Amino acid sequence: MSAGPAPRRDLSLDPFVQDAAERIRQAAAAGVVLIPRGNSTRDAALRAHAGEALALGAYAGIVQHTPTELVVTARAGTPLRTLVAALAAEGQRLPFEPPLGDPRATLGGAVALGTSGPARPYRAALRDALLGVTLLDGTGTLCRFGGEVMKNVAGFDVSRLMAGSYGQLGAMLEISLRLEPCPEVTQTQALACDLDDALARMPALAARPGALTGLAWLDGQLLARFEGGAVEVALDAAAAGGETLPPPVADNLWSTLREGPLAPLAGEHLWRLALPVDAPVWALPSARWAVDWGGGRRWLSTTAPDAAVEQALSAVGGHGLRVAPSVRRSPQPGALRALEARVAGAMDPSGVFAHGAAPGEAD
Amino acid sequence: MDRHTLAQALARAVPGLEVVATPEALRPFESDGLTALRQLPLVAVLPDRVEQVQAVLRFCFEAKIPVVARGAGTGLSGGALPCEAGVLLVLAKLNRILEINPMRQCARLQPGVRNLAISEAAAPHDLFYAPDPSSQIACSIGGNVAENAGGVHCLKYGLTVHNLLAVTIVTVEGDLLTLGGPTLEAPGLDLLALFTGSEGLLGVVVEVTVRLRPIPAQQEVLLAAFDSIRASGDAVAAVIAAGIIPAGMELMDKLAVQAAEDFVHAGYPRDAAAVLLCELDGAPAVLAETRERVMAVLRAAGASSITVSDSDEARLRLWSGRKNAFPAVGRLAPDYYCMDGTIPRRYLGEVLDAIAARSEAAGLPVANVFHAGDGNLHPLILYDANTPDGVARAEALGNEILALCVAYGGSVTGEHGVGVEKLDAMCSQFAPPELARFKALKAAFDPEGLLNPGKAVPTLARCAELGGMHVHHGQLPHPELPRL
Repeated sequence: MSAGPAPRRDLSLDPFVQDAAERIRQAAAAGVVLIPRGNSTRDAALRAHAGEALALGAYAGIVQHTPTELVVTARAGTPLRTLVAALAAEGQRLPFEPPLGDPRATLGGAVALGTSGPARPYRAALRDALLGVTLLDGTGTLCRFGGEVMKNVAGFDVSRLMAGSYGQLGAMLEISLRLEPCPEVTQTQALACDLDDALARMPALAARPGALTGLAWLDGQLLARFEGGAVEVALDAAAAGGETLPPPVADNLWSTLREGPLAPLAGEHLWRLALPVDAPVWALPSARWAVDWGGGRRWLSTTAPDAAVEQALSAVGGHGLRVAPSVRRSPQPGALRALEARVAGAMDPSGVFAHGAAPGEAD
Repeated sequence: MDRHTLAQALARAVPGLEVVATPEALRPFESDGLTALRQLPLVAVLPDRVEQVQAVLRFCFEAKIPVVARGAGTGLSGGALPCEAGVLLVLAKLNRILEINPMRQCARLQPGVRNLAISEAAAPHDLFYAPDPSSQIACSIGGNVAENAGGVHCLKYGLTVHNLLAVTIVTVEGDLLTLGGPTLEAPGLDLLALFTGSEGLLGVVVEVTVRLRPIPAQQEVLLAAFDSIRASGDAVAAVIAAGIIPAGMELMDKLAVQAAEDFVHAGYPRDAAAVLLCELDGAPAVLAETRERVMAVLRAAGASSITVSDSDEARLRLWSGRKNAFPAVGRLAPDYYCMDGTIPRRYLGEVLDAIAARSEAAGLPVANVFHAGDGNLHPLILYDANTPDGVARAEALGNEILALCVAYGGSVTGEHGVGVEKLDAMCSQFAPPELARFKALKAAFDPEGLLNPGKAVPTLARCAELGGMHVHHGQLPHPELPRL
């Protein structure tokens, strides 16, 4: 005999949730635009956007973490660093290695931006780890999509749709994520080389099955990170060659890659590019590069005009997000933009969230 | 429009299109893997070019004719059940592997390519496609995308949604649209995630780009026997809790073990209450290390014996019992009904006990063969469809089991999809507000509801009629029943 399942939490009874729902309903009725906000630490990543803030940062705290389950459910306002520290205390971590940003940056903000870190090609993307989301939709109605189980194909996958949705589909309240155990051993190998040489070497390193969880090029070094059991890491690191970096040095480099490795100098525009790994290095004026994801993500700071970057992107089927001086995404086909708008309308029929603060295609 | 008129009109509108329009020739298309449900479509069409798919959809959109897409027809929830007044769009002829790109570790495929054929084509490059539904010899990648198919190795390597880069669809209007792309991220809403598992309601898949992974150096299987089903379920949770993610972890209960043993003689211990199969992969030295750790956890969890495969031959023999478990169980009774619920892993032992109690109360044996590592149950309800209320009793027990999964925080389907089979069960998992969003999302892609109508998302009226089925906030539909 046992106690049976824990009763499901009923968020509709929570005064915070009731207030937020009422606020959404009133705004929708009055034609006011609301911008769901956590602690407003990532404004530079958002499109400037007129509307009233819907403050959600106070809705914070870990709701449930059953370590044996490798799943956590936390309120969207939970500071990401708080969550990461709590998981680490149980020997667990987020598989998508998100940028942690400001100490007050929230889990909800991380999901809204959908950004994954260096481990993304080898472990998981943020959306891959997203198991469930409870939210208030554009009518102020409480909805629960997905859950805390690994496999769930009942209904459309609205949970994963929330990753990178920039607040345009609803106000997230609770988020459930798949976790992974922290590795027993982490080791980074470094090899001094130029960018072309690094990109040429990366496919062979990625072709080996095993412990690889990071493959990058930063400041004239090819970096390969291996994580897992001691035996596997030692084998794979030896096969990769290069020199073993002292752990503090390596940790510093990976956190630089995770948080954003380049800062634009005067006159430069900073881009985060998603490219096929075999895309060539572009000849652009005063280009500075950092490379992650085995060549699949490239940071570029350049004085080249945006049009030149976008032309190079379309030639290889890549995508770009201009990060500075202000956010802008590379153009998408019109039919896709129209479909995105209809999907947003399905979650937010009155447009109270007005397409959120997602980067647009114009300045 | 009658069958003959529609067939002629389609043949005129789409040059070169194969149109099937006699009841005899349509018979093979009347059901998918859920053979209890049968329906002839008005006509079936078998395009062999993407342009034909577009032309068929344009024609049907103009004429307001429903369209049901079908891959290999192996689905288990009736997702490809034809529509009486509609066109069945069979994608089997679009079966070319367009590209294997070892540098980018991806493959570009037409929707009719068989799941197993992808790994076979990638093998010369030491790569494989990880999701491996048990129907992988026959099922097609287009159907895998539509159902977000799983399989034994999803525990370590993820579901279909985790292994896709791009899907090109034909919209209900007949236009081509690519979701995702050759890169690992794209700006804008993640429509690829939304589309995956949408069961043919949002568009028709005409091209898929999948991620390939390096083939592990070596694989081996551990078979652990347990004296109670509860202990075996708890052992699964213990392995995960120890920080070990095996390539696969499958459980079979006594009924399934004995049926499999009688059928294929895999060498399973016939007297065990449950058998756990645990697959490990990696370099030989890594395997040795992991094996020791797993064996220690299994012993501590009460395993009465552990067998380790010492060759590929032995590994395949140990797997043969699991892989043939469904047909083996099928020999025990005239009919069986396969369920597909998921639960948090920590409740495995508890829920298996509860299923056993309900099985006994209903007087219908239940065999359990399932993806334990993912918490994905496949209770097989044994029954006889020729007895007066056989089907109804099996369905009633099935719905009870699914309600139990929902009450434990799980889902009514982990990998088989809703189709038509689980429309009622959906009412127990979702409340009207969520169903309203699903309807609106459907309309964002298909405003007139022509694509696979009546599947996957129940109407609010249907759920209202079921009434008492709805499990709201964790309350079981029959609180008077004893809980285990």
